[in-house]
Amino acid sequence: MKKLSKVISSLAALALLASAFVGCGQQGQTRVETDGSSFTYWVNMDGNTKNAGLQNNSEMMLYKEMEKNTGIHIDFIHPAEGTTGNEAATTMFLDEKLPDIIKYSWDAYPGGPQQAIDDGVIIALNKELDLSKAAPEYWNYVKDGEMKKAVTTDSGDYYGFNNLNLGETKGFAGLYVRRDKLKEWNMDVPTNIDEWTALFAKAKESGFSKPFTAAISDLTFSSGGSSGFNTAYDVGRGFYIDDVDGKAEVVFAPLQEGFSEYLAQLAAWYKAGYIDPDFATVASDVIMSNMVNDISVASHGYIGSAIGKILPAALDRNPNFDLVACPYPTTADGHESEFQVCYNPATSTANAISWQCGNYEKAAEWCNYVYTEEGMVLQLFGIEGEHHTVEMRDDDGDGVEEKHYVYTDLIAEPKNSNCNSVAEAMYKYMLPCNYPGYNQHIDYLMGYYQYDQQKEAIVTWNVPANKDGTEADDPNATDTPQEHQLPTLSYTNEESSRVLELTTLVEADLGAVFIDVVMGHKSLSDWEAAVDKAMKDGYEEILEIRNAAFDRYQKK
Amino acid sequence: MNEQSITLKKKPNLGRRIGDEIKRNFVLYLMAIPVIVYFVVFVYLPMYGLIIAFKDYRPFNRMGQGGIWGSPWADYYGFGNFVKFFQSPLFWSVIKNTIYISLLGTCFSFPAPIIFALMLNEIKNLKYKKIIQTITYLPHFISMVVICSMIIRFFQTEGILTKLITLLGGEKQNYMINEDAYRPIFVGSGIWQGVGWGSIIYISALSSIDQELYEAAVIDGAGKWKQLVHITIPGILSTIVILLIMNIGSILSVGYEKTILLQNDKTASVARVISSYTYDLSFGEGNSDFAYSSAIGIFQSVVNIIFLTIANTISKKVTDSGLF
Repeated sequence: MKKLSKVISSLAALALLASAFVGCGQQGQTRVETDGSSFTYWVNMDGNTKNAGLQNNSEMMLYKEMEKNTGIHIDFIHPAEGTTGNEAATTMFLDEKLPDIIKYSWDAYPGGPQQAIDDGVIIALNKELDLSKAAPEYWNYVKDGEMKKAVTTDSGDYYGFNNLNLGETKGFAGLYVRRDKLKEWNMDVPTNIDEWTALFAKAKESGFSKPFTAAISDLTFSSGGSSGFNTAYDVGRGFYIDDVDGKAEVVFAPLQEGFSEYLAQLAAWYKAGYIDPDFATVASDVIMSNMVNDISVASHGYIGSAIGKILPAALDRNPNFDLVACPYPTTADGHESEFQVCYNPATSTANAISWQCGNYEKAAEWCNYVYTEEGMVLQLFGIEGEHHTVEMRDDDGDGVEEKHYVYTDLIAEPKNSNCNSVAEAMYKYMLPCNYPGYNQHIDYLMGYYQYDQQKEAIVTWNVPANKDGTEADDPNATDTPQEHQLPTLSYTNEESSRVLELTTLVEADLGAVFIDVVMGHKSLSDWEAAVDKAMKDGYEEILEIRNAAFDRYQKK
Repeated sequence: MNEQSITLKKKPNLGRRIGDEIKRNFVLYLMAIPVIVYFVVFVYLPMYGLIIAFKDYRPFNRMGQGGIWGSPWADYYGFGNFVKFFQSPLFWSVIKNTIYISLLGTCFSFPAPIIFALMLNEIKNLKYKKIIQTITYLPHFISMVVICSMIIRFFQTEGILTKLITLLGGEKQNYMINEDAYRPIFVGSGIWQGVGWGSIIYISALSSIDQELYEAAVIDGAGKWKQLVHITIPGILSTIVILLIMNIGSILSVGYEKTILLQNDKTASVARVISSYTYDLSFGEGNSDFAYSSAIGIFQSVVNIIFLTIANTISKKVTDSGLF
C-alpha cells in the first residue's frame, strides 16, 4: 500500500514538472506595429567578411551606404560562432521573438517555404502586400515566366526576396585538359568522342598512367547536372526534363536513348586503361594530385574548385603547366549537344519577412533596394571611383558598347585592403554573390576569378541564354540546356520521405551495376536488366512523384 | 521474519531517518547537489523530448499546433514512426548488417586490447613499453574523417596496403569497392584505431594484481602459460566481464560516421547499418524528420537494454559479477 502511494506521488510530481513545459507550445503570437525605421536582420556573416577582420555586417560599406540611401537602420543578428547554419536557425525559429527579416535557404526548412508560411514564421508577400507597389524592381524580375515559378511555392505564394541568377553566364562546370601537353603533341582541344579517344591514347603512350581522372558523381547515372561525356550522346544524367509526346515531362536518364552507348563508351575507355581505376572512390584532392603530378591529362570539374586550385598548385613546380576548358563534346553526327549543366533561374536562399515584423511595407522596401540599379551596383561593385570604375566595352561584338564594371586596385590588389585574397577584399565591403539580389554578374565573375584560364572557362562553358529563341514563351519546349534542367521542385512531406526511402532502396544497387559495367565485370544486358528491376522497385514511383511535382510547378 | 519485523519497529519513521542521515552527512550531500542538479536539468528533463517519437512533429509552428506538446499524435495510436521503420523495405537488411558488424566487433575488436595488454604486460623494458603504448594510443585521437580518407587511400588500386596484399599473393584491385573486403576493413581499422586506447583499462587492472601471487606460483613451478591462465586472467576477469556486458549492450549501435565515410554504391548493401540508414532517410531534400529519427533511436535503445539485461543476468549466474 505504501509503495503504491509512493508511485502515485512521484507520478504526480512528474506531471507537475511536465506542466512547466506546456507553455513552450504557444509562443510568438504577438506582433507590434512600428514605423519601420529600424529592423532586425538575421543573416550569417560571410566567412570572407570575417577573415577580412569585420565583427559585424554593420561595419560593412554596403550596409552603411544602404542606411543612408533608404533611411532604414538595420541591427544584424549573426548566428553564434561555431554553430552550423541549421543549428542556429533552429534556435532562432523556436525563439519567442523572431527577427524582422530572415535570410535563410528556405528549402532547408522542414516542409519547405510553404510550411514556413503555414507555420506562421514568415509572411506570404503577395497576401500581405501589393508587391508591384511595395517592391516594384523585384516584382519586375519575378512577376511572370520561369523566374516566377522558381521563386514561388506550389500554391503561388512569394515567400521572400530570392537570390536571382540574373547574370548572362549560366555554366560553371565541364571537362578540362592540359593545354601544354596538347601543344606538345600538336593536338587541338578535343570536341567529340573520337578526338577524346585519340587524346587518351596519345597520353597513355606518353606515360600518363590514368589519362582521365574524375569522381563517380561526374560519370554516374544518378547525379543531376549533365556536364560530362554524356552530352555527346544527347542524353542527360539523373532526372531531367525532356519532351514526351509533345509535352515537357521529367524523365530518368538510364531509360533514355543514348545512355547505353554512353556507358559502353566508358567501359571501352576503361578497358583500354584510359579511366582512373579508382574512379568509384577517388577524392577531389587525389584528382588534383593526379593532374598536378602528370598522372592524368584530363578531368572534370568546376571553374573555382578545380581549375582555380590545380593551377596554383602545379605552377609552383612546373611553370609550363597550363589548363584549358573543353567545350561540351558534340554528338557523333557533329551537332552541338542540348545538354549542359547550368544554373537554375533562382535559388531558395531569400530574405523573408517574419510574421512578427512591425512594418511589412518598409521591410519590403528595404529588401527591394538591392534589386534596383543603384542597389545592385552597390551590393556587387561598391562605390564608383572607390571600389569600381565604369568602362564602356563591346564584348559580344554586336557593335554596341555595353556598360561594364571593373574593380579598382582596392579589390584587385587585396593588399591595399589588408586582405589575403580578392574574395576577402570583395566581401569586406560588399556581398557580390550568394546573397539575395543579383547573382552571377559577368563583371563580378571576371573580377573574382584570378586566372585567364578561368575567365576563358566562363566563356567556353557558358550556356547561351536563348539558343533557339523559344525559351521564354513555350513552357513545353525542351531543346536548350536550361529547358532540360530539372527545376527546384517542391514536395509534400509524404512525397519527399517516400522519394528518400525509395532512393535509398534502389540507387546504390543500380550504382553498383554501373561501376561493374564500366569496369567490365558485367555486360550491358546486365545493366538493362538492373535498370528494369530498379524501375519496378522504386524509380517508377519516384518518377511519378517528380512528375506530379513538376506538373504543379508548370501550373504556377 | 520475526527478527526483521522487530528491527523495523525499532527504527524511527522514514522522514526522521532521512533527516538524521542528511544531518550526519550534510557536507557530502552539499557536495552532491551540483551533480544531481546537472543530471536532472541536462539528462532527465530533456528526456521529455522523447515524446516527439510518438508525434507527427512540427518543430516551428507558431500557431499553437507545433512544438513538442502542440504537434498532433502520429498514426497507429502514436506508433506511426515505429511502424514506418519496421515496414521500410530495407529494415531487415540493416538490422542484419548492424548485428553482423557488432558481432564481428565482439569477436575480434573486443579481445584485441586484452591480448595487447597481456603482451605489453610481459615487456620488461619500461622505456620500450611506454613508447609502444604511446604510439598505439595515437590513432584514437585522429578524427574519423581523416582515418577514413586514409583507409580509402590505402586500399585503392595503388594504395600502400593493396601493394602489401599483392606482395602476399592477393589480387591488385580497389578493395574499397569489394563487398567481401568491406567488413574486414571496417572491423580491422577499428582494431587498429582502438587497440591502444582500449588496453589502458586492462593495463591498470593488471597492475593491481598482487605480485606475490606470481612469486608463489614460480616457487610452485608454474611456467609463463600457467601463470597467465591461473593468475593474470582471473585477476582481470571482472573487468573483462563488465566491459563485455557493456559491449553487448550496444549491439545495435554502430556509428554512422565511419559507415557513411567508407561506403559507396558497391558496398552499400553490406555497409548500411541502422544509424546510417536513419541518416539517409532523415536528412535529404530539405526534409529533416526529427520524429522518425527519434523513434529509431528509441527502438535502438530498447533493444540494447534488453541485450544488456540478458548479458548481465547470464554473467551474474556464471561468473558472479555483473553491472547491477
